[in-house]
Amino acid sequence: MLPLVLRTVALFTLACVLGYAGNALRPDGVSLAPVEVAASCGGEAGAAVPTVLTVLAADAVQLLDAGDVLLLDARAPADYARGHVDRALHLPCASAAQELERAVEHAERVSVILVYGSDALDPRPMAEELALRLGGSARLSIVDGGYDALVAAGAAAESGLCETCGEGTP
Amino acid sequence: MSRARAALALVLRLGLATLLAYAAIAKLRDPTTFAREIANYQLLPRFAPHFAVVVPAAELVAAIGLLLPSVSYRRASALLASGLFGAFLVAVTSVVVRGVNVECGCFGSGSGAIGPLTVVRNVALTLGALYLVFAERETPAPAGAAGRSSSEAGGETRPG
Repeated sequence: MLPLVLRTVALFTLACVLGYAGNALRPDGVSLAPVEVAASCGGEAGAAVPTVLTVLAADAVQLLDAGDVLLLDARAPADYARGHVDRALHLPCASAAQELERAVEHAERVSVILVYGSDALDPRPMAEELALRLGGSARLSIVDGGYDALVAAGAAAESGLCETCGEGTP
Repeated sequence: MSRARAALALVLRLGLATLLAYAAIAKLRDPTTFAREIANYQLLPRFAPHFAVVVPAAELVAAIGLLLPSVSYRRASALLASGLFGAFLVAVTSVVVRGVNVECGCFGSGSGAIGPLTVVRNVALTLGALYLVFAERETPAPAGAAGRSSSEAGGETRPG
């Protein structure tokens, strides 16, 4: 067993040497500085960013009760897992392009789109990205006060993973 | 090793080698995007550039190693591959459990979002690689046959 493990370690070491050497030699090699996360937000350079309005949490809860609403949570995954508004889809700026496209398709079928964040995370970048994709922000609003305000206004909350995210998202 | 097991091992070796080589080349085409995709997993994001450098190289080394004539290095390559797949399995399972919506990055950009099927795929790949580690054990040559083989090949001479 030991010779097998030693050979495996030797192969891995060879891979590390080849990897770093190859990366140093290529002009488009990876910078070894820490990567900044956030891929989906940002929009096209030079694009006019539509103005996204804000809605009070109490009004948002009434809209949720009325139905035909797409609710999006733009916070970090750990915050989402700890607690999110019932039926909220998780859509942070680090979302995969496919997830963003699915959210856009869903958004085109509803009357109202609400995006919330938290005190620590402004949902505006994600809301603006969505507004750009939808060609306008008429149906899109940011919930003032974020998750805490929604819960305080009576929105039902749950914790855990986003069951309708990933494969099979509506 | 029985013929059926040998055939299965050969199919697995070729399949895994092809998959690993394809994945490595896809990642090497755009290493910066791959580093960003790793960072989006939000598991040790500060090491993402280093993972982006090492992972494709390890995949390529494992792919080539699986095709070597030496059983010893084929087994070592299979163990390296199973380690890679196991690490991927931990990462994608973590993403699914936390409900993070991110690109897989498994086969370069455009690999699609991570979901339960990604977990299943990585379980299968890990088990396949582990099977190769244990299926391709070297069997010792029968006593006496080794001496004849050496002299016929003009190898070592027996001590006088």
